[in-house]
Amino acid sequence: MKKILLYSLFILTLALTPSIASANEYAGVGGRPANPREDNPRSESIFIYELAPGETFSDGVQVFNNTDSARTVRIGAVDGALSSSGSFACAQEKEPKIGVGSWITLSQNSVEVPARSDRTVDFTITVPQSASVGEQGGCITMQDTAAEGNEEQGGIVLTFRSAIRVAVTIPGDIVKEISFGPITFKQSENDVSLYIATPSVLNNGNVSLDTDITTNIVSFLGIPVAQVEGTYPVLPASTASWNFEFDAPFWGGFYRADVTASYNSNVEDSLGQESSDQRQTVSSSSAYIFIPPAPLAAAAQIAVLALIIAGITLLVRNLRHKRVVAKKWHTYTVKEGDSVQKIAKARHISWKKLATANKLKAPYHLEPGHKIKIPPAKD
Amino acid sequence: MKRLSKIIAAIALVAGVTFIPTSVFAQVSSDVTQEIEAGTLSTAILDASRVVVPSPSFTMSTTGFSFDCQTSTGTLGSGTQRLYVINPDATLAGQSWNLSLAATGDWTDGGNSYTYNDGANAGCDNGQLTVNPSAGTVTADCASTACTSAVVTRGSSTPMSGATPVNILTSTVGDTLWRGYITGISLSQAIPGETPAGNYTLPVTLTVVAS
Repeated sequence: MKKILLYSLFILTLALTPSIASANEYAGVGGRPANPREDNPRSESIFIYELAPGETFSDGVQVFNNTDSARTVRIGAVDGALSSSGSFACAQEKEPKIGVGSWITLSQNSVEVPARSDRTVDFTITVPQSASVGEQGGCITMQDTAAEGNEEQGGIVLTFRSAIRVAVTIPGDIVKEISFGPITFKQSENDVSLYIATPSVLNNGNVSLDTDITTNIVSFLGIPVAQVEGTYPVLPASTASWNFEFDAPFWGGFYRADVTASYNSNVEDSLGQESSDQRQTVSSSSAYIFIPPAPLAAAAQIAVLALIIAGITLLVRNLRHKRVVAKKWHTYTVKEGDSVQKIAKARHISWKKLATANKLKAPYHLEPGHKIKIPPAKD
Repeated sequence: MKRLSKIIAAIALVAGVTFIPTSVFAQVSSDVTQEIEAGTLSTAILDASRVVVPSPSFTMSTTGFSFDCQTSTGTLGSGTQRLYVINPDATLAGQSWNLSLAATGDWTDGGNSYTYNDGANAGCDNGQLTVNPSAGTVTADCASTACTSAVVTRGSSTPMSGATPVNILTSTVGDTLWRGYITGISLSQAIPGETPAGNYTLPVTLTVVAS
């Protein structure tokens, strides 16, 4: 009976445990397009429209509350902005709206979203007649009012928001063209074990391009040592750059950074679409850097260098000695009673040097009449 | 006594069976359904247990009144206040994101103020804040082997200029789930000479945008 009681209590404990553990997982407040286009998977995460001047389109943003309590979420529309690195960012609410932010009319500016639930907020986007051909960017922002900063604390006060990019393309003469600006390759200022290659990519066209960037680090012998690949949106008429980090190569030496950019150049495809294999690839000029070796590698390299220098020194001394022997030493005919030691002593050199110069082998016996080379007599 | 034990055992058994999680039932039932909520891209300051830090704020080094330009420094993100980006939905195709920081007002103590984005005279004329994400450390905080700190790049040290947001982190376009954080972003504010003493506050917005 006690066993049954214990088993039952164990099952009860097991049943109640998971709900306590899972309550802490933070997943935040955010959103996504409510009506993604079937022909464009990229529209699942951002709003993508092709709209003519004067055209109006109705859509919605699905606002999620993944927290365990109901939240009031502030919704806004702002213009797109370039961040300091040229990547896509959103303007602040207080900035005047002159672009896509002013084209969007939301049905409501805030929404109550129950815990672990979502709500759809409708909006319309109306392109003005004066809109120029090409892609314009904006954002729909979502801000959890419960997570706004407390101004009374002093210092840096943070507020957080999530946003979804709105890319509106005005049809016309679409240009897709990428080129490279300068590339820098340098040691990290904050971590000496890291090196940073920073290519800058120019979008000379009038629509954004999802660009595959491949950065290769190659040794001076042409051996690839590292590669970083990634796809990044490059906004129209702008320059974007990224800091690709590499661990310092153990052996050090001269290294080269080469970067290629590949993008869909088919002007018929909108952002996120790739209907044909029409890709354009461009390459950067190379950037070079000398990277000092790791301390252990430096010690090994110094030891090897010392051995090489010692070897060369010995070789040079040997060659020089041979030249002296050939030029200045003269021929001597061995007489009865001569020995290597006796001749060497008479000429004030070591017997080993004399034996080596004449390629004599142990036991260094000399026969009378044998001709050997000896140094000239000293005055 | 035996009867009481029987009653307790029966209640515990019924309660346990009633509340037992679906994963335990899954072994004996062919009809189990389980829903995992997708979640959305978000950013927040969380502590080491991934619990939201309410009203996070970061103090800068204290400086005394000076007739000369001076610098106050600080760090955004620490072991207990981690700047997280969470991208929990791999069902979204081609999801990429960018985390940026922008001030939404001047440094103010309620009466006096100085700015954060004027580079004139190395920021000494009116004040300028420099943000250095490359001094920070990025840590991926998830189990997947594809979820690494290599998925994101850190922005360069940037003095704030105009309304341009400073790039903190950028991800590649991909379908990768990512949860990670950055700590140790260094901040350096040039304070104009003769700025009146006070307890100054700068409102800053961090935006994570699906791009």
